[in-house]
Amino acid sequence: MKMTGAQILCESLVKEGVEVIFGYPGGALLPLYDTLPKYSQLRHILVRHEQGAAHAADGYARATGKVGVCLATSGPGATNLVTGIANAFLDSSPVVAITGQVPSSLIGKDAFQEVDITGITLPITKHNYLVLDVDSLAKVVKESFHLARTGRPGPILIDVPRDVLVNEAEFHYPDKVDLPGYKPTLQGHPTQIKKATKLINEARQPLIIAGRGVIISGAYAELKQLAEAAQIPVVTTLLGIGCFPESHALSFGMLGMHGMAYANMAVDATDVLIAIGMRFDDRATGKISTFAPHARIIHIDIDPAEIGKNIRVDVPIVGDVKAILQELNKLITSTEHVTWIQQLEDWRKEHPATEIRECEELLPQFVIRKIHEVTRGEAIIVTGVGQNQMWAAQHFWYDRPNSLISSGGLGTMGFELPAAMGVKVGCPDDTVWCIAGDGGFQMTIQELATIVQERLAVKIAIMNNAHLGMIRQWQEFFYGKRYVASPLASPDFVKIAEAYGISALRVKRSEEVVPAIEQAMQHEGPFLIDFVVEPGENVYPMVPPGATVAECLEEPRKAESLKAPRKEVAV
Amino acid sequence: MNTMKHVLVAVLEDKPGVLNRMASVFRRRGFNIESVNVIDTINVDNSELPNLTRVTIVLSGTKTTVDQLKKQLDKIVDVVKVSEFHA
Repeated sequence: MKMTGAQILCESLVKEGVEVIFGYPGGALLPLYDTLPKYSQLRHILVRHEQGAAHAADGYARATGKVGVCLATSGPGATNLVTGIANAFLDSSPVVAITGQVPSSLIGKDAFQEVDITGITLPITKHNYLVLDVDSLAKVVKESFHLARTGRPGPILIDVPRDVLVNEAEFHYPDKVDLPGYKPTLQGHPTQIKKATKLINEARQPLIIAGRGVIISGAYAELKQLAEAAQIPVVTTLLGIGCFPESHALSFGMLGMHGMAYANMAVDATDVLIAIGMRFDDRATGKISTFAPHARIIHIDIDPAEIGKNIRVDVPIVGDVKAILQELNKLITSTEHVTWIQQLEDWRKEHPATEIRECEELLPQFVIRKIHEVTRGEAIIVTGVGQNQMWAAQHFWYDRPNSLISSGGLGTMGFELPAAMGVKVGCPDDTVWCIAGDGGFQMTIQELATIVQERLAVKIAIMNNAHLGMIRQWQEFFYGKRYVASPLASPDFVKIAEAYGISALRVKRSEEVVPAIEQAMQHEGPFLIDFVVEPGENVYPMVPPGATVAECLEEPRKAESLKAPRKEVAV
Repeated sequence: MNTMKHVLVAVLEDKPGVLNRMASVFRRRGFNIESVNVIDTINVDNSELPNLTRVTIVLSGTKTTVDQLKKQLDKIVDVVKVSEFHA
């Protein structure tokens, strides 16, 4: 039976198991929007800006592991997706972005709402397609979903001209893909695994750095088995948070620019570094020439191009993290590293990173800690970018797999609200807290309307310090306290929320924090809390840009500090 | 590190924009190319794949640089194979 391109597109999405599309209509897409109601399996969520659609699809994808789908019209609709696509690309998130395009006869004529979106997104997609023939549409969709979710996941863009949506063809959904240039390596090379085993078995001060690859691969159990059997301490990257329980005795927190001092000291001292599903980002490594100076490095990653890109590696193993760790675990001998782990414990005692100062002002760290306490850690935290993100990473303890969703590589302010929306759509039974700054929140604030229309019970905590906080912090440390363009006037967020139909509270004092969070949790729908926090608060520890990770700045007022409850040790 | 002249041979699927994809890698990752030669529709020995294009790239660089370029090019979905040519 012949179908229109719009029908073929919908049928193909159904075949791929798509349940949700985050989108925004436009002229070029009207044939598709006219067809959508015939496919009740495809829930369409109307966002308020296409950037929101891309971030929501990204958040959905990260939280569920399924491919997130976003849809935008030609021209400005497509360009508005760009930040979200780049964000998904940098953090290896499986997203399929579908854009409308002007009719194929007008392409290249600077037609109304025409933009070369395949050209624009070429360096920020894993692959992209301009579909010029309705006969190839089903094949393109099949390939796109395959590419998005396999190997190193990433965003794929499909650009569909208006006439392709209208033209008719027979619908045959292909069973398999034929991509001769795309064969991701999944099994690690046995020789490399043997070499790695030898290094690990001989190591005296081994250390694991675990990244988001562990989460993508679902290798939680395998990582835990490796760490426990060989008694190897584990530190994570920002995006690796949630791949290893933070209350585990072998967990030593996050490394990098705002990582725990002891995590960075461990990197500085280790003799065998096992990097798993991470890519030696500069925010994680600091000055690369002095990173892990005493270590032989084992690098496990699915993307061969990451091997040796940023750092010299002694034993590369290319493949799927889970498959490789399973093989590695068969060969590892059980060992003890008592002195080494004791050393790390001592560093943790000497350089505590999770303490919160006792003071009159309302501290953002305190707010995060209380969200952890009230939710008992049973929540998915979605953050913005900047100070709020770092405090959320440091002061919430992540024991549940994949419980932190954050924009790492691109560092996209404005990610928080639409991503939290996507997470809540994908995980409706989970508690979802959106941790925002007053700056980033205003970049995608319009999605409050989407949240209301779609009845998404996202809980929003704004860390309102009346500044672009991280900018203010850098200006304080490195630019002679010249606060240029960092003080920020904001509207009354409580009134804004109420205008959108969202219940909201403002909190200015420490003792109001817990009751407010409890009220938000008990409330059935979305809820916003505007936490008016201490404006001059800085994120510590901090490794100055270009410095070695071990040379970090620590919080100056340690003496007045309040002892934080020690994380419970898991059995 | 020894900077030497290297010759890379890439076999690509003859799809629209594939040269642009390669050029984009050269540009954004800062590889300095001395020459690029493109030959359309070649027959690779014993290959049943039709519509292939062969691109020969000459560049100067260290082994690390060339390895990295090779891997970045291989990552392009339409690139079937990249190998270094040794005279």
